[in-house]
Amino acid sequence: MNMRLGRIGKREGASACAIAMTVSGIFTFETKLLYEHGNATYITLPLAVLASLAVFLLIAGLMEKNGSVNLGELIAKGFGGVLAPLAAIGLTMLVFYSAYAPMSQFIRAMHGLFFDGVSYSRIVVFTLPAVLITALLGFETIGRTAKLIAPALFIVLMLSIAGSTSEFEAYRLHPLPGLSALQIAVQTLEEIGTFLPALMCLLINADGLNDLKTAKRAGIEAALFSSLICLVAQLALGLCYTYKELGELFMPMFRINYLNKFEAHFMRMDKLAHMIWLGGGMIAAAFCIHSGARLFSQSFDMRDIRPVICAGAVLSSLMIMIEVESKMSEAFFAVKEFLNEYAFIPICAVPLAAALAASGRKRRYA
Amino acid sequence: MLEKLFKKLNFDVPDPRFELLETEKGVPNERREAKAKKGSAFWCKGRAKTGEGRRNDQGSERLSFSLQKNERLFRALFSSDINTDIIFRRFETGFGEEALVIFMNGMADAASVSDFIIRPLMDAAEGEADEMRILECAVQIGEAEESCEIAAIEAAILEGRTALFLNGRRRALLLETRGFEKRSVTTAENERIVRGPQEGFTESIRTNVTLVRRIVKTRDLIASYRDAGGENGTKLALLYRKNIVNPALLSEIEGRLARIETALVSSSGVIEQLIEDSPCSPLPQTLATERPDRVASFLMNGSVALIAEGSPFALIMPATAAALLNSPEDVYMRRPLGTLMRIVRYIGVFISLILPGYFVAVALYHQGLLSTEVLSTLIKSREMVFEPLPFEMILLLFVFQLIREAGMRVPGSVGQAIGVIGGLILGQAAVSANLASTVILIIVALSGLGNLCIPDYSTQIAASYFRIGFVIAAWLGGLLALTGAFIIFTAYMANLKSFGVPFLSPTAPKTFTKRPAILRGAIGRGVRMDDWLNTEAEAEERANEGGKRGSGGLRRKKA
Repeated sequence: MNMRLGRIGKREGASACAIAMTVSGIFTFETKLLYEHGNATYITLPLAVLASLAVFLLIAGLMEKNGSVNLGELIAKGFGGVLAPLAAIGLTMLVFYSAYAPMSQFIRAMHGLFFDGVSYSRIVVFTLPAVLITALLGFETIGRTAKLIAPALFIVLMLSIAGSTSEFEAYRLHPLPGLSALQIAVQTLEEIGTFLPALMCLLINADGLNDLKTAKRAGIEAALFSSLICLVAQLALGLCYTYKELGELFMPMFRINYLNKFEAHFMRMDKLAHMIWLGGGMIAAAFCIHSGARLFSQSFDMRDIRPVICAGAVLSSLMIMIEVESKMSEAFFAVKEFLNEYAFIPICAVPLAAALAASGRKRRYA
Repeated sequence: MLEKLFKKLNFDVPDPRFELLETEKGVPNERREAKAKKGSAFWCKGRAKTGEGRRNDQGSERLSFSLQKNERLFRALFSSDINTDIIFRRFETGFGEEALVIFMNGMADAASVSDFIIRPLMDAAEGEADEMRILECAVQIGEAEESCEIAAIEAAILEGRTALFLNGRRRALLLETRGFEKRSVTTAENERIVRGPQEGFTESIRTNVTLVRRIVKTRDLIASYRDAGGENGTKLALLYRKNIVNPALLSEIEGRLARIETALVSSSGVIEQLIEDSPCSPLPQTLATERPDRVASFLMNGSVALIAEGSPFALIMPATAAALLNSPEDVYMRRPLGTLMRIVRYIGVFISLILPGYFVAVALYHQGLLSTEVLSTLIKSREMVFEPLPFEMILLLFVFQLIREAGMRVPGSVGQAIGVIGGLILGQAAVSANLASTVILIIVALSGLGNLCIPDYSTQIAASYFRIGFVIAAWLGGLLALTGAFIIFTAYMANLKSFGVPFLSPTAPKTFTKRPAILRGAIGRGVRMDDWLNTEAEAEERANEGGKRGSGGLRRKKA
């Protein structure tokens, strides 16, 4: 078997997961949907991260009880021979989607801000090798690369926010808290689908993190850190733009850099920051693609993960190209809207159902 | 066909690389295996496969009782009729026995052979001449051993020792008479530092081991000699601290050395390629140094060093990126200065790698990142230059490499002059001839200076080729491709291992250190050892603390 798993520690696992969650929480969302009725993202996104953490801990706890070493094993134990592969395919697709979604946003941003005269496919050609090679090198490599890149991402993000503080106006947060309690609850639930896949990736690779306990600790660290970052970033965005402006902006975090230009400097911050974030997006995509491929390979008893990684990376890139190059952007938007609203249901329900079924079976056979 | 492709891609084959990582209990799996293996004569098994066996078809054949037969045998072995370097001297001892000495002219000190072996034996008093008596009373040589195996005797003669045979004895005395010419200890030319010891290794294995022993005066420092595995019979010395080194690491290194099978091992550079994890990797996975103090500091931390006969470089294993980028001088300077020097060096390395590519990307694709002043200067300086900017950058980087290579190959002051001529006159001429622009020249010069900050030569070379890769990436896709290339480069380094130790330790994976590797720690706290080596001292302390993880049980044993 060649699963390219290796073995990493808590810090590396937490870094990879935190990058994936932060990228999702800051760059991935469709602004039109998120800021439609008002801005309460500085409440809903951190809450969604914490809710995802609760679901993650619940699944991890059930996995510990029924002795599963990773999510693939849990699904096999819970659903048995016929249903398990189907459930695994569903989860794999959702994990692949969480690799595709940020990369799609990044590529659209690159096209709009840097390479407007170039076709999308050329941009994809430059991002695909980095994602594919990093994913092929294995979970261990992804974790270590994430550990190295994470501080740079954090520093750049904080510098961007610090650079825009002169533009902060409290009135832009009006109406406070932006949404009604029910809307906040609904948005929080919907956003679980954005954050939970990254945490699920930790459970998929729990044996590569030494054990489930380390995976749990890594998940807790990653989630707490990400919720804090989401809170700060979304609050900064809310202070810089009104919710109506935010609803019209594409990737507003990119725009925050334009608020403060350092004239006559050799190195301007804005575009460089975009590139460093793009690096984060590549690592997040590699993490999700590798994890999705692992789940799929495990469920179908494949002895080598690499063909599935290649397929996953190419599939994600093709989807991006179809989305941006074809005239199907409206259809894609509709699918995205649907997934943004309802993806949290299968991503929570499938592992939970598997965990409960596995625990039930264990009790029956005990 | 498909099967061949699968085999080539290692399809369905788990990653075979050796791991020195900890398990959840903080004890490497391999340590237990290595302990179980202890005493299983692994070392000897390996040696049987290597040079000694192949060099001599005699294997473990024994000597004859007859002196004539033995002489005939060795004459035939060494082709003494055409090989005049081998000296056979028969004489009669003072106690009436017929004797024969065999030695290699030039390798052995002829004066020692005649003054301390032949003459005392001829002058010896009459009596029973057993080997012990000869050793105690007649021969005036400090180091001697007995052997009856033809292969061992042959190897000893080739090393410069003298074999003494007596008629009617089935054993030979191997006497230490090595006396070939060698270079004396001089300064370390390739790793110069301002403060600290200036001594460098020579080509003599004995001298090199002694230089290390003069610094590491501990009884647990083992210098284990063995054959390198080449047919030329180069000797190796494996140095480690017995109570500190991780047995799994030692066993892995011994295993890899035992598997060497090649015709010629002429230098430690050959051994390095034959034993490292990824021989095709541009980045080295062993640290080659000519400084005994550097070897000593790594040995104290639990690393293993390898010194080869005929090579003034020791190999330190495992080697991490931090080890390759740090200089021994960092420790000899005061802590703030040492830290500052490291920071400057790391910035230099980053500039060396990224600056040319970044500049190409910005100038070609993202001119908005440059201020108007810089942009107008660039345009003005490139007004008459005919080749495209990336091509100009690659050409100048190539010229820089050319000047460097030429400066290194030409001896002494001429080499320095080439550097000056290349740097000043050629640069000026290139600008005048519109072959290069001043801005690009400055970028290349800055990048070159950053590259020269890297203390390790192999890493310097690797970095200089990586930066060309970054320039090509930037040429193709601007900052987007440069970011992709940088991620691939980082992932490649994160994937690399040196004898089971991740190349980017102690940063990724994070080990016990509380500070980043770039900051130099206090010398007073140097009681802790490198965590990533999982030394025996650490294992013992963990055992004492009941296997508690993260105890940082890396304190040095007090001698």
